[in-house]
Amino acid sequence: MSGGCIVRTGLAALLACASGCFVDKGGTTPLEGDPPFEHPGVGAEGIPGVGPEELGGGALQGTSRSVRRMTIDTLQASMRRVAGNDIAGNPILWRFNNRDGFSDAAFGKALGRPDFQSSTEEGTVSNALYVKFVGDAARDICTQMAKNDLVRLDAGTRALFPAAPVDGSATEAQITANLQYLVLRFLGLRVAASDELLPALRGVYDAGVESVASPAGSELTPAAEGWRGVCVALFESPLFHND
Amino acid sequence: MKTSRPWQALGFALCSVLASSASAEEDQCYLHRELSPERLLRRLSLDLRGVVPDVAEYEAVEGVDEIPPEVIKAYLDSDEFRLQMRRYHESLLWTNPNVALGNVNFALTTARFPDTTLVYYVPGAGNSRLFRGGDGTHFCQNRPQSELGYDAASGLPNAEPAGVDGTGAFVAEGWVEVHPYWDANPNATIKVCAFDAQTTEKYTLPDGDPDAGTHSCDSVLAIKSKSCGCGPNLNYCMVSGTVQPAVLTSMREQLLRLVDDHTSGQEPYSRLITTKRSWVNGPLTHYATYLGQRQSLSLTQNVRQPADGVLPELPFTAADQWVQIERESPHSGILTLPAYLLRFQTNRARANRFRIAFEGQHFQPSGTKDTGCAKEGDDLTQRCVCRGCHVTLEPLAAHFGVFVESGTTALRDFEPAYPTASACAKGIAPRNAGWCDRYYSAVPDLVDPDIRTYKLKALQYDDAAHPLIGPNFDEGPEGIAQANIDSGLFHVIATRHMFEFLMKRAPNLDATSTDYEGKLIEEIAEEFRTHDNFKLLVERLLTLSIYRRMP
Repeated sequence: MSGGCIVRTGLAALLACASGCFVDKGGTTPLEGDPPFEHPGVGAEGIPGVGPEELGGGALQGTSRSVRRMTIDTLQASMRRVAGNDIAGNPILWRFNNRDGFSDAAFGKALGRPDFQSSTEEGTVSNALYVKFVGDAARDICTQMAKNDLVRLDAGTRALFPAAPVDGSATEAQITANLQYLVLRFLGLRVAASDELLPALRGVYDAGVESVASPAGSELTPAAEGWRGVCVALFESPLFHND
Repeated sequence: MKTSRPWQALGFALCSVLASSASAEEDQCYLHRELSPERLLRRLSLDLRGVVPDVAEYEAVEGVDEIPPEVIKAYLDSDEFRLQMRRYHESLLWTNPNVALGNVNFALTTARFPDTTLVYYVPGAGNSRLFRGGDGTHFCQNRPQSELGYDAASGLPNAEPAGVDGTGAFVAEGWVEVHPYWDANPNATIKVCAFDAQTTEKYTLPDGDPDAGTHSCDSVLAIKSKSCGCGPNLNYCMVSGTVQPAVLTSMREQLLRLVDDHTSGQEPYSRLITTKRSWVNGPLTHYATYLGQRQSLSLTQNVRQPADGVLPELPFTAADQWVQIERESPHSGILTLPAYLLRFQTNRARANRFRIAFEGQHFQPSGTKDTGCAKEGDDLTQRCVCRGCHVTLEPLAAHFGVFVESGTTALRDFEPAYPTASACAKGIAPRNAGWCDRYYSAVPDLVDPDIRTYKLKALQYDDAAHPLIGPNFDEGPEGIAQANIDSGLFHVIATRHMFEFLMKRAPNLDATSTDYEGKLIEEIAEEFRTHDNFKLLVERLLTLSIYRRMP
């Protein structure tokens, strides 16, 4: 089933299935050979019945909670919380023309925040507009996070790379630890160092590092650029947008 | 990957790998699995606080079997939960009014003289014509009124001939400097044309006038007196761009404050739709005291009535100072607050929103052909197709008939009917046929159509063929709200809505389905009805195992 859920066509479709298809890496992962904790309530056709034998059989459980995309209010608040504050203590926001990009004075209404006058319902589908603006917000916020972290001398106060130095001296273990930290910070997932999720993010990091051909004159160091890339990827992940 | 948007592409790749990692582990994608503590914390935080947890909060639940109850309690007690419940109720009620509260008879506009002096005046043609003559388009000249003085006998500003237009000669007075009530700076003044800035509060029509007597200048009907202007501190007038947004914002906040009170667990949730208690601040107090009764009869009518309660003395600028007041019957919780009545301006719309939000029902046109009905006529409860909904809707709407449509004026103290048009026009002083038309409908006598009784509009169809209109009008919104609570439906529907909010799907109410959740909803609703505590309802729903599984 998970193979069928590998989506290559767009974020919208990913949002619909990723949470359901992603096997939790937390402490509740069942032992090998055990049946899943609970069984599907209905088959693929929506017909209730008995669970498949290979899943332990037995009566099917009822339908669980569903999954929706965040509203614009929650997205705005969540990106702000994940981004943290700048060195002056002000929240890092998506800035557009000196406004919060998610505010109604910028793109809040275009993104679907209802005013209960001309629009009364907030659609929680991930359309092209949503994906585009989330991308813009992620790039802007992640750049600010990286720049602010670069001037923080105390590594423990950094938001984006607290566990790995960005002067080129980071060890493999430090990079892995920082990836684990970011996955927890952005997605609320506690993953092991050996988790299969991390190599994918490591690929993002490496691509970012390589993209800085000449560190001289660049606003970010190669490693900081790598972490900025990981930040954007995590902000664009369906696991961030699903509640 | 060095495309122009490398991280988006990498993001897509990452998501694919996330899915693949599941495949690699067990080649399974379990639809149902209990969430990890961190992911459950995230879900709880998003639902209850509208924001993800921070890293410290994730760290605090590392290794726990389940989220500690005190964490959920802290979320429920947080200010963010209060704001979430505001959003939730606004989604349910859509109560963000947006109506024009000013009009040309008392909304001030500005003009700039060649020397850049800015002057305020009321642009209404009727006022201008009364003050200055001409075609009603003129305002004052650019000089202080002190240079022109005031008429010793009448006290009116002196004016000088200023020209002739198509309708005749006109005059122009000067300007005076006034501190406007909307400016928090007590030393701030603006220049206002002297006729418009008059501070007279009463005017008297002489004997012989059909409306002889003393009347208030603070009235939409104060158009006969040249001595009536904007009153002290311009209290009877407004700059729409400044005053209107403050009043509309306050109306929205007024309703949300009641939502706060009844979702915090301090006040019973069901009282949200029945309480007489309300909140007012400076802008609302000023609007209700001075401006509501000045609105043109063709626009929204918000004339303060005794039923609206005693207002505190608050200046307009006290926008953040909120005071509780007690209203009287027929007020009923949020249903009779301006934010509700002005958002849903007809009695039908008010009843329809009530039915959706608190009775859980929507009107749907019939899919079958309607026969044995009236093909013509004004009575929608008889007309083909229309009657499918209006047989139900009209009696419901009658509950809201005790408040004027397109307005908030409570009609409890209005005469329900007048025998003639003349008597109806005399229902207000000075008499006004337009006022009668605004509030009353002429209902021809069944025997002699020449006899036309003027009934309050909501009572137009109060007759033997519509036996519920009269009683429902008398019960008011209180009647429908209390019946909704007494029947248990209020708590069932509130449970259903909150279930949908938390579970991101509607409960399965198909009784033939093995996944039927109607009994569960009824069970929880019954508990809710007993304690009537909104927070306990939320807490109860969070304990359901279906909330704690993924997806």
